[in-house]
Amino acid sequence: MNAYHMGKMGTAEGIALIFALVIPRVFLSGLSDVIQENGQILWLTMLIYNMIPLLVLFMMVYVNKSVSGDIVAVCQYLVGKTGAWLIVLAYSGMFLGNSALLLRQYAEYTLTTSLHQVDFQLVVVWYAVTVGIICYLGVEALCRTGYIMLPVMVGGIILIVVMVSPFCVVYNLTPWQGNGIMTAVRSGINSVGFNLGVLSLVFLSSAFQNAKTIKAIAIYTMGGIVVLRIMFALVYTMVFGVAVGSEKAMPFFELARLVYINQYIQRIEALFILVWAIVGLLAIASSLYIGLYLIAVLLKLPTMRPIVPLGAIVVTHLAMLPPDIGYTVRVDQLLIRVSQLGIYIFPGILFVLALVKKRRGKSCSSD
Amino acid sequence: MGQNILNKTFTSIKNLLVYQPVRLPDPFVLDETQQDGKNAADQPPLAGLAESLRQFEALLRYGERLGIFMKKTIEVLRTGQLRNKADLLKIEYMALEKQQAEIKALMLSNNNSEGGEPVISTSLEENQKIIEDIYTLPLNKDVVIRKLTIPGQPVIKALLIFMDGLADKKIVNMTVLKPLMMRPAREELYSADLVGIIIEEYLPSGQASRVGSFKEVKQAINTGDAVLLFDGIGEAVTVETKGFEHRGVDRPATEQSVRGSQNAFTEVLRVNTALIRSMLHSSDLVTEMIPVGERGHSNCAVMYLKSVANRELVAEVRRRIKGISTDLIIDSGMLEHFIIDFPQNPFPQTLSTERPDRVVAHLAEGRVAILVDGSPFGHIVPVSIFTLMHSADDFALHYYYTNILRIIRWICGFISMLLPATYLAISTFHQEAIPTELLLSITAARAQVPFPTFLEILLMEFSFEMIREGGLRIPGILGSTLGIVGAIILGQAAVTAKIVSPIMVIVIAVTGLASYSIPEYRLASAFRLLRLAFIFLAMAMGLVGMGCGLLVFTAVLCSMKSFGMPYMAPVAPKTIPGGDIILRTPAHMQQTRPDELNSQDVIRQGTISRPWTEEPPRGGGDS
Repeated sequence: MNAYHMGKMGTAEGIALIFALVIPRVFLSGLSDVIQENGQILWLTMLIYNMIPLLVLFMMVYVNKSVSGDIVAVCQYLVGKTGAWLIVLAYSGMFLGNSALLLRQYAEYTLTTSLHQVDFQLVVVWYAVTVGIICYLGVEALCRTGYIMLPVMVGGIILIVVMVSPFCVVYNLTPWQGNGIMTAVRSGINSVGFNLGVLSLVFLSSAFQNAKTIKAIAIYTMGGIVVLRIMFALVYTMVFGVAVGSEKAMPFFELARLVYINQYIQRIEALFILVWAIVGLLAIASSLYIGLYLIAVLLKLPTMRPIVPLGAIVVTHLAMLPPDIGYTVRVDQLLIRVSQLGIYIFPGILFVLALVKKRRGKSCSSD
Repeated sequence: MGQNILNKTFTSIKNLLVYQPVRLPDPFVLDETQQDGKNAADQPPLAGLAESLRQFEALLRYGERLGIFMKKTIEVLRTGQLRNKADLLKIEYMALEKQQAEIKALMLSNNNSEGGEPVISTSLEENQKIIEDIYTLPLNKDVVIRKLTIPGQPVIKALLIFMDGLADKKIVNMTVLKPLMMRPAREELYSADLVGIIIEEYLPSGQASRVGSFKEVKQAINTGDAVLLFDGIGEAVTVETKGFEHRGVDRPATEQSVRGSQNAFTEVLRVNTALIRSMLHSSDLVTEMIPVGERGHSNCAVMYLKSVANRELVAEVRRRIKGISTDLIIDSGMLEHFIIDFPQNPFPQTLSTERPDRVVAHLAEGRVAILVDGSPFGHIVPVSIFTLMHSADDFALHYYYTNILRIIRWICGFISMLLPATYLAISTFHQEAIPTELLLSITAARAQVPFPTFLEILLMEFSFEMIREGGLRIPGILGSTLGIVGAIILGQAAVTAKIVSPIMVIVIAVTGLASYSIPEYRLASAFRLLRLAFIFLAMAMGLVGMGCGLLVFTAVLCSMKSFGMPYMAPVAPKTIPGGDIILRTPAHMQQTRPDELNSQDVIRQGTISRPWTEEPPRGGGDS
């Protein structure tokens, strides 16, 4: 029995996994930061930071095809044992950190938006227990749940976008250059950490059918997410404008608050709590799973399940460390920047070494 | 010596720290059957041809030798040297017989492997072999083969074949066996048309006819007739002996249908298998009998279509039933606990039905049916949650209407599970989501109720379940009457006494009503259990708690399997839709069997299942 409960997954499950890992910051303050930095041209930033990880993933797929085995075996072959430990631990740290910071932010926003009287620690522990149970059931269950919830998540976002259309002011998109094209490009290159989750396809490659499936998943998902993100960001900008939009901490919630259809259908933001709670929980669970999976592979553990409760406890404690939400957001921005290591440096090194080793191998065989 | 508390604590801590996962065998996963393809791939392409050539040569050699022997015998008889050469001829005859025995198996396999239906042979042994192959004997316990000897001059060996449960044994005994076996032994039975004489003189049956092919033989057996085969005669006699249960059995009590079949299973296993056979006249249908229970020895019938059902699935069902080690199995519900993957999970992992027509429909899709002696309910495996939401007469109604009903059922399922919890969450934590007028009305109604909403819901839920349980136990028509009266009087009295608010009565009544629209009783029970869980979640964390609950609930369902098939298939994992998931397409458009079943024959019907639409109509057209 495969002790990591990987199961057999196809394109649908892969799409759900990547969607869960990549989309949750639409509901958090990340969008406001991007607007503040780039102005109306934020769509270009988004386009860039969605496309770069896609290219990096293709590089990693090449590496994975050149060297057989899991991510640890691949790294050991290319950069040695110490290098492999460093790379895999770093990736694991990024995912676990992501999980902890998302947990904290979603818990804070839950308190702010819907459960004002509930104790903060109860919310964090509640989320952690939920996430722990989902992770314990395995990645197959996690991804399939994500796939079933996908229409709810995407539908929720689209519904809000449609319902706030009466508030859209197209002039808010001018001047279209925003804070400058170069600023947008630079910002896009620096924000790729948002999409580190795409690489989980390579880490879990044994669960997917083949490299072609992985590439297809990446293309479909990132393509869809680019459209969704840009659409959401443009509507958000049209509704609030750059000045007001960059001050909002919860873009999705703020948009939902505007919805007014008639006196019986208004203030529906409370109902949309369901949507973003589901998105957040899936994101936290996916990040936690990948982080723990990498540790399990690295330590060659016979099974992963016993460390899931431990991982959930560790993440819960990490989430409770920052003193306030402002500090959490700053740490989150730091994590996004650190995640660039996982997008640019590690895959770059692995790709070059794989290329060199393959050429050497060819020249040796021809001799 | 027993362990003291210190030892136990030490062992627990040690087990926790030095954890080793329990080594379990791989769980069963329903994959595609690959045996056939594998065998074909393993064999070299010309292997079959070479074998055929070898067999053909063997037959030619035998024929040549037989010809020489016959010429020699004629020569001997002509020349009058029979006395001198009798021994020599005898030796040669024995050798020929030996050779014939060797090629007999060859001839049998050739007869069976031909593309069309095999013809009835003059050899009784060969006919028996063909029948055994068709009906998968001795595995299949439905078909009875009775050897008999018809006394007379000469004595004739015969075979009587009929389907147990479909044929009436009294009729078989009185109209076939008795007249044939009791005839005087001294009377001559030789005739050029023996079959004709037997039909005319010895079979006192309303319908007896001669047939020449196994296609007709199968048709007769499958519909409850008995078939007689004779040694040395290439024809068979079919005798009408139909006697299976029909319309004598009760109507379904828990799965009533407006337009579907009105038959239900009984407590007699053989009657139940016969009811299925009476609807599915197929030689492919196999009934395996597996005794279960070390003291009770109840029979358990496993039924499947051998050319459709996945072989690994059949083997797994067989393995699980044979692997039961218990005293007694008295009910199909009890059997279920022994064979399903997740007995702790309240969600049903088999489809339990009392309707033969439902079993037949699922058998045709490639599923396996399990029936237990003494239980009027059969199990169908594997199933997904979507199958459990289908009702008995979904295919008896127009598909537009069926689809509307199915959507209503799903909505009712969610209402049954979530409505009280949603009311609790919104009224306690998210009042802003309620329109102001409604909020004022709810507040006014609740103003004089002394209990919190949570307690109010629990009180009402308890009362509702009490009325339901009480109504079931009270005998006869009084039960339902008392249930309705109790609900009305209690509800009204509770509102008047200001113990509960009127809106709460509405919420609980709608929830109760919704739970009755779920077609599977066990699924409705599971939803009721979940409803309680969601009420607690909503009490603790409002809609966020419900969101967490929904997510965990979905994840648990996604991690489940029913006999190797994912419980949420064909949605998660996504497979090729067969046209019958939440909504259904018309029957003539459902070309494939459900993909997730990995059946041997995926195609249910051709791309054009109504070829008559492409043919010109007879008679005049519009012009």
